[in-house]
Amino acid sequence: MLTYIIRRLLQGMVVILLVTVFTFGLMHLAPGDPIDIMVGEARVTDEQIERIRAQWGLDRPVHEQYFVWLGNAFQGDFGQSVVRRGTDVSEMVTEAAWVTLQLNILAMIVSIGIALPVGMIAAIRRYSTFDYVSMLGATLGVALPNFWVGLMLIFLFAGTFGILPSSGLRTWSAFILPVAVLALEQTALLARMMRSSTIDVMTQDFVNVARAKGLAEFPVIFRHIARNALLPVVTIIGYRLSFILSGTIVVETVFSVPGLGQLFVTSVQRLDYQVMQAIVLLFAVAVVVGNLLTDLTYAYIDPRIRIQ
Amino acid sequence: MSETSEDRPVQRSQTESGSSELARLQTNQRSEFRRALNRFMRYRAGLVGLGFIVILTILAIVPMVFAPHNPTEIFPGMRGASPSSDFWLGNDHVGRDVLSRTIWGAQTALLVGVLATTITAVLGVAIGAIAGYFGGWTDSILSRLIDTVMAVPLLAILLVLAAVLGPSLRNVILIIGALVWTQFARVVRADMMSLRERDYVLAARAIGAKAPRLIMRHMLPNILGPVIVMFTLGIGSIIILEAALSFLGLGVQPPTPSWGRSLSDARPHIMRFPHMAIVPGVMITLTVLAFNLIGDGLRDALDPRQRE
Repeated sequence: MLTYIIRRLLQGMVVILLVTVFTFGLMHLAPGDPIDIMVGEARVTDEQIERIRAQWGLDRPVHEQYFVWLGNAFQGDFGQSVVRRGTDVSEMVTEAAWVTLQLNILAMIVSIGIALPVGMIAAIRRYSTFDYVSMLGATLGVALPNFWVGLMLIFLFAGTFGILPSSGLRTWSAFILPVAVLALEQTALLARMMRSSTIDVMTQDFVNVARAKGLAEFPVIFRHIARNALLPVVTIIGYRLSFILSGTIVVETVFSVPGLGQLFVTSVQRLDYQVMQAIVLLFAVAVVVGNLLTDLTYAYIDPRIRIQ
Repeated sequence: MSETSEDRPVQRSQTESGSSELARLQTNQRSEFRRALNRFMRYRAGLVGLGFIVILTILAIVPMVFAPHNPTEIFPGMRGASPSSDFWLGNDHVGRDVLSRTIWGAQTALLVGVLATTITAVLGVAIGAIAGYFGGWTDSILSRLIDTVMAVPLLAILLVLAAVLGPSLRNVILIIGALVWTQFARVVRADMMSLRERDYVLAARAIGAKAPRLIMRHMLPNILGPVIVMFTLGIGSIIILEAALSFLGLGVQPPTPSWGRSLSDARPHIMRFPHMAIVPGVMITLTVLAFNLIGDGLRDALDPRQRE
């Protein structure tokens, strides 16, 4: 087990290192000089430009810039935002990350709370009206683009009914719409998975044994079926972290939520390289750590995995 | 699919006359395809999806026949006008015809969906086949590459690339194609690994077949089923990606009509001109839903082991 963890950690570090090389290279392939963005409309002399270049290390060769950046990043220093001058990137990112974390944890609770019971009931009452309606909803939920759902909800609840705010996160009611949109696709996918996983378990021998020995339906469902059906679904949640982060980029933009997603989109649009790099790196670390934790959790809750 | 021996139907009779034996062999040659087709035809929802895509394809090939107006023509004094007899779905925020733009948008969506998915499939199958067939160091390196691409949320890296390379229809197709191949690669890699030890592959190798021939002639045809299913499902998710990129302003650029772009235009005007947002969103949803339904039907038809 220990060697497995160490091997996975090393693999994860290689991946994160590759991500940094990739993003760093990418940003430096970009046409246009970051100096132009920093200077903006201001009139400056060539001498001043050279001084800014030296100050940001932009006069050194690319690989040297990379190692300087990497060394600083390791110490949590991502430099300063080019667009919002004088603000530390790490400060901006931490602030935004907190907002994103809150939103996504809420969305996760909502989607698990809805998807797991719905999926199980659909499986147990297979081919019932409930099964058809919920799976129709789930199929539709996967196809709906979240930014469009967001727009429609803003129009309905902030416009027509006027009961919820359309943007920001100033009151608790402002969380409702973004959380609902974030939870939508996740709920649909999890419900479908929970249903098929439950059906798989229901047909296995130990369930028949439990019934044959005279166990009532309730304990059969909760003690024997539910616990086993949850296994594959729980792990899928961990592997979906990168999709969840993609979702948050769109949803935060639609609802003008000051989280990582919106910060990322604005920094991409304004070519604020320092912020972009920091967020991409943070995303990659989150995904790699998330996948590792998922694998370990799986091995822990399902002893059959450990044999391999 | 046609070469896996286990999937062959059990031969009923061994004692038939020569001519009918030949006839049976001839029908047997087609039977795998026939049975797959029959299985697909039984799945009503898949047929509905196919019907929708056929109609959409016709609209995309000859939009000028169906669109009542020029999609980029601005009608003075018609800003945000509601549906009328001349403009069935109303006008957008600058006075263009929403219906015509929606019809032309089908062309963009299908173009990006099909072309980007083709690039994706070719890359993913090639990388997965090489990693799975050769194993060892080749596999380790390619697997880290797959991990790296998967570590960064897709939308994030697409946004960075679109910003760096400059957003345009061509670049959207290229960058989506260059990055979304990981799922193909993972599935193909795993399948190739299990096929490598099959008797018929060993037999082919024993008589001197080299790697390219083994991969192309003996192994790939056997994993065509899952690849076709992933291809169909991939078109749907890539259409959503294109719409999301265009919605965030880094996809297809004006004046090219795109459903995602239309939603992006509609966003600031959602309270006053909601009709701008409804139809493009419905079209994205229906198109993605249709491809997903076809994909589900194909999975049942081509890859019965993976049935939900």
